[in-house]
Amino acid sequence: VDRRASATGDLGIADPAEFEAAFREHFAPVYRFICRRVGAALAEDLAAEVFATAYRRRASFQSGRGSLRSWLYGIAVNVVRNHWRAEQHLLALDAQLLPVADLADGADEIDRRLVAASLAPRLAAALQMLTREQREVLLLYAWAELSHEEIAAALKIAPGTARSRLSRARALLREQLGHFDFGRWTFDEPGIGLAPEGRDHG
Amino acid sequence: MNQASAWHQKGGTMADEIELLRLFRDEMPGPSAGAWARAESAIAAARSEGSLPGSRRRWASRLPASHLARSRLAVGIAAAVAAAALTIALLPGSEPAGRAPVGRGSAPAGTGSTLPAIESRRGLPSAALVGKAMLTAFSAANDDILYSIQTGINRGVVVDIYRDWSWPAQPVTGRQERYRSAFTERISRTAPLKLTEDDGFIYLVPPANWNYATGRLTVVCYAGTGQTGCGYGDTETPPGTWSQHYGRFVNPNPGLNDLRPAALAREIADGQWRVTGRTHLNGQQAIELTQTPAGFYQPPPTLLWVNAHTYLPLRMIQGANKPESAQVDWYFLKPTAANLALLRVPIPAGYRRSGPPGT
Repeated sequence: VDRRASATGDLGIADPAEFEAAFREHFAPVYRFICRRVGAALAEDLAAEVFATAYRRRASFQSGRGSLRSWLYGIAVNVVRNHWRAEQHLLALDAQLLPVADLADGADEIDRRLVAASLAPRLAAALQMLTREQREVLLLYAWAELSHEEIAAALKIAPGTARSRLSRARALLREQLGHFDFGRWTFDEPGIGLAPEGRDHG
Repeated sequence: MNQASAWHQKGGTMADEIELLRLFRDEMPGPSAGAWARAESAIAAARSEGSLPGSRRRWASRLPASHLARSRLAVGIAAAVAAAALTIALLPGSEPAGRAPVGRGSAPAGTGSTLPAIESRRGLPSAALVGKAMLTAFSAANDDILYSIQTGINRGVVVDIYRDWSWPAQPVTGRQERYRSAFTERISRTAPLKLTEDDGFIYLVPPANWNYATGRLTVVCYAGTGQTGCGYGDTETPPGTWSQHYGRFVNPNPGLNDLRPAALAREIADGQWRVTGRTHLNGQQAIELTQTPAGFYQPPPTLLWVNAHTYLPLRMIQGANKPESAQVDWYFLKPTAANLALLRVPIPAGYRRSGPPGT
């Protein structure tokens, strides 16, 4: 971590004004990370808890030991960890949702959000099957977009451990997804209902 | 046709499962105005607690890390005091005396330090003069071993203690520096203080502001402390083991510019401290300085005591009279064989070696 290259916060957040700037920069992504994991009902309280905790502990942030982002997500992971059951429950509900109805083929309206919604049940089911450790690493990488080193700093594990844990989590996710073919955008097995008409499902 | 395949046929791309997860994330709206307000309210509540930031591991108070680094420029007190400090046990499970929140006057028996009472406010030197005298004092002691004890106190209970040794006291770019840090903590208010982690790092001092330094790192992670492991930088050492690593690790003294003896003296001369009285501390005549609101160490009040004869710093307390406070005591040791032995990290009997193979 190059302290001189940090945008905000990484030079220190001990000063209330610096903390305020860090809060403005990082609250929204941290909130979304939590919201995606435990739902909106809990997210407001937990995201607030993350930043109140960060404020209390702000002097313990050491830029030489990782980025401010990774430090904040480390707190967020700990906060969410206490709500494991809520997360599992939310994933179970998501997994039971039916994929949203297809739009008409005038597909200009189709956007990424709809794609995500259509795949959400399967993805939620897959995430539900991961262990806590695997899920934490995977979601810090995919949703928080932390690097291996930042994940390591957030979870206080070695970068090599983060890398291998992520690799394993990705493999398991693919397995749980039922071999979704990213090249052809189809699931190999029948009944998923996501393949284009006339392909693969006979 | 479903959304995914239709989007794909329209040219949408999704490389892998990570991209899929990000699509899943992106459908989540950002925080509402209520969520922002809720967080702002929680931060305001935390601020109103008047607490110092917590420790690197739990809820303990400690000075900012940069304070610890900056403190290493500060050197020495009398040898007799240093020798007394070294009698503090550094064994697993040992428990130095607890310290109550500091206050002026006498402390209840057994509760440790208090803020020494101001004895005189007459004939005080100017802050500029104190700063200049400190510069001279630092320079004379640069080659000795700096030993500091940093104590975090939470509502009357000592919650963590960092004992650090650095030699030479003032790191010099391009020269070898030996550093040891022994961390003791209490995992709950009722648990005993226990030596948790002991790190030794022999390294080549990098240029100013480099975050990493190259050298040999030794880590002992004590068992039975409640910690699931120890780590210096990117290393991992399980409890009940020790490890040794060669390579690039976190620089224990980043920001060498801040470590120069001139830094603290300049702060004093620049008006960030004001001289507030004369007193006695540990049997020594001392000058008390109080940080002004423009000072580096927050929250106030932060107090500093400097030996009235040697102009070497004795003690700093951050958050004096607050529910959480942190105190640093500085000692300066001559680099005798016995004192240099303190820089070595002892490996407890029966501890197996862990860590990367071949190191």
